Amino acid sequence: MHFVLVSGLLGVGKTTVILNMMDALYESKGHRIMVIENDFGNKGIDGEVMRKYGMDVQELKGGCICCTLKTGLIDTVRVVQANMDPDIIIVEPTGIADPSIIIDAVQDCSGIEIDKLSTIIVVDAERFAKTWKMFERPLRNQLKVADIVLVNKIDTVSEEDLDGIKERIKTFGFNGPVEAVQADKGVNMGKLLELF
Amino acid sequence: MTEDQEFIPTPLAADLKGFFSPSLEGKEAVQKFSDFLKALTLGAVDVGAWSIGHVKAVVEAGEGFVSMSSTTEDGNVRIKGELASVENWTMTVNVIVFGPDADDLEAMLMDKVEKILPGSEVSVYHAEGCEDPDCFDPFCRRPEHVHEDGCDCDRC
Repeated sequence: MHFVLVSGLLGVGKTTVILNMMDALYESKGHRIMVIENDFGNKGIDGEVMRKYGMDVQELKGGCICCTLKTGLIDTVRVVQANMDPDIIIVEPTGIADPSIIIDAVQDCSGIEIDKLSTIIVVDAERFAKTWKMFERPLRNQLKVADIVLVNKIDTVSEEDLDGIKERIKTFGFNGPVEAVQADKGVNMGKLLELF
Repeated sequence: MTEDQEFIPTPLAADLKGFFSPSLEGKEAVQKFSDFLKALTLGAVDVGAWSIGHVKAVVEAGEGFVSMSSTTEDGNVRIKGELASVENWTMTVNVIVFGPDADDLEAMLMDKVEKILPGSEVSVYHAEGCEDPDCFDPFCRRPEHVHEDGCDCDRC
């Protein structure tokens, strides 16, 4: 099973990335995919939206899967793997989660068989200039475990600003691929499929 | 979750239920819901939000639904989906922002409902919080984090 973590700060467009990615994965490769959604709120909106678009979604609500719901995540992954045996499990944690804690939890856990683990970090081009200063440490934590970084909402910034964002990401120590995308229109999302 | 207290957002979730009489054309209804979401975002800033995490809503009416999201302080709303003519509708709204007091945020929501979607039924979901001083999850329900008066654990 391929375990894919799609992480990023609040409001960066993680759900939109997943919706777009799942369409492409299903159409081009026929993978069986399950999404585990962790909304930071009693009312899960992202999961509801995904279901309306026909996705298989398990929701973990009312907490954060990198802390209070960590056990819940592990149990859910176990159950999903045992009962549905998907090719890919995509996990969308809350925007405040530390992805390294989630990765450690699932890697160290018996009863979960992971063939490949990929971490996609999404950042918001529109708000990057502000958020990297406000949330530098959480952002650095996310970039530490990234396999690929998607700079989303590129329709809202200039080429110059985009170059600045990519440069800033490099200064945070991330030297992997950085893709500029507009997830809601599917722009430049093809590169992401190379992970699969 | 980060251990920095300043990164702990204030969450607010609510279900709304209402009707338009006479019914509204789909585009007009979507505009009204979008106006509401924008007002929530701007209102959150007014009550002290120094950063918008997200303000999201999903609206169902008849066979259609729209999802809406606002993530910037100017209240710009991104909309996905469309509605046909709308009479009865339901909305789930989720506000996660940094800075405001939870009660101020809720009062702001009720004010915006009254002004933009008057007559709607509103059910607000409260974060119950946690008694553990080292836990920053506003929705924590871990029984071991409940501490009694007179508890002699290291933390209390």
